[in-house]
Amino acid sequence: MIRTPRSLLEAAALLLREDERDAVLGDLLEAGEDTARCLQGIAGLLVRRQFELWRDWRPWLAGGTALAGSLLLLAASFGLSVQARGAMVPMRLTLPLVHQGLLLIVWSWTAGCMVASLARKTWYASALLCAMPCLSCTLRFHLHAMSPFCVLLFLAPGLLGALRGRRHEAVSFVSAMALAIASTCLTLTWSGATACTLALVLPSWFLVANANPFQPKKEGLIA
Amino acid sequence: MLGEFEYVLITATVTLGEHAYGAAIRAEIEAAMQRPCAIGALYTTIERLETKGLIRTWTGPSTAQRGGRGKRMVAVTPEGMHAAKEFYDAMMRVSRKASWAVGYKEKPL
Repeated sequence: MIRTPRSLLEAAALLLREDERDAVLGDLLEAGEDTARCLQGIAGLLVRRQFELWRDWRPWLAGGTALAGSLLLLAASFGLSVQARGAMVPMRLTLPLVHQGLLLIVWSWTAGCMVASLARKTWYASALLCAMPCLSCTLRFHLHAMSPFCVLLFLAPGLLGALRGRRHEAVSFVSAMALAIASTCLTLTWSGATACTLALVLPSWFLVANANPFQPKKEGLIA
Repeated sequence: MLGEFEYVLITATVTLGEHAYGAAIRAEIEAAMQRPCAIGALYTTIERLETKGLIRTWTGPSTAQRGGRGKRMVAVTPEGMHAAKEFYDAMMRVSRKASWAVGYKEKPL
């Protein structure tokens, strides 16, 4: 085998998991297959690995939550921006504004945490499903005197939640329960609550369900 | 119940005994089934069976033929043996009246 194709093969093998890379490359070399067949074998393995992941329900739920959650949170971010803009004129921080701001942070953080803990290995799909409505909304945003980025306020707490969710440990039961109760109370007492916004409370209850009180160090749901 | 390819992989592993590793299992399957075996199918099935506790794997020695790369050695667990026997007996039972399977006598598990 000449140098260049072999380097190509080794580069392709970098996409494989570290613990199986050597074994797969060794098997392909031992079988004496040409570079094209080896590349086909590696590509086939990568595709099958992805199919295996998507046979589970978790990546689908994570993707659905990422898409629906980002649509709802875009609207919530816009609502907060409008309210904040109104409050800026007399320069006062009103209670409803703080209330709405807190809600947005809790909703975004719990949704991000849920999506990331549900499907760590298919995070790219969830990220794409979240990015699509964000990009579409930002590009189509034409409102005078308001930045298009005002609809993306939820991204920072959402990303922080996702980073927490990617860690291989569930949120502790007490923290999850406190978060869920706070989220539910804040949502129910919010004047702008609708059936859609109630759906944004669900991720916080998912975190409660995932944090088994009898197994404090239980790992999160991984797919 | 095992799938067809899972059964084939377990059987090939048992046949190879302590010499069962990725490339050898693949060659054994190709020889027995008389069709190509994709390395992707092999490794995803190995992982699935290991998750089910039907096989166990570990890193074996490397050889010059493999460019100094280690082998993924495979061994069937007692649960794997039992699952394979169940599959085999089920296939024998379902085939006993088929014209191509004359002479099979059912054995208890």
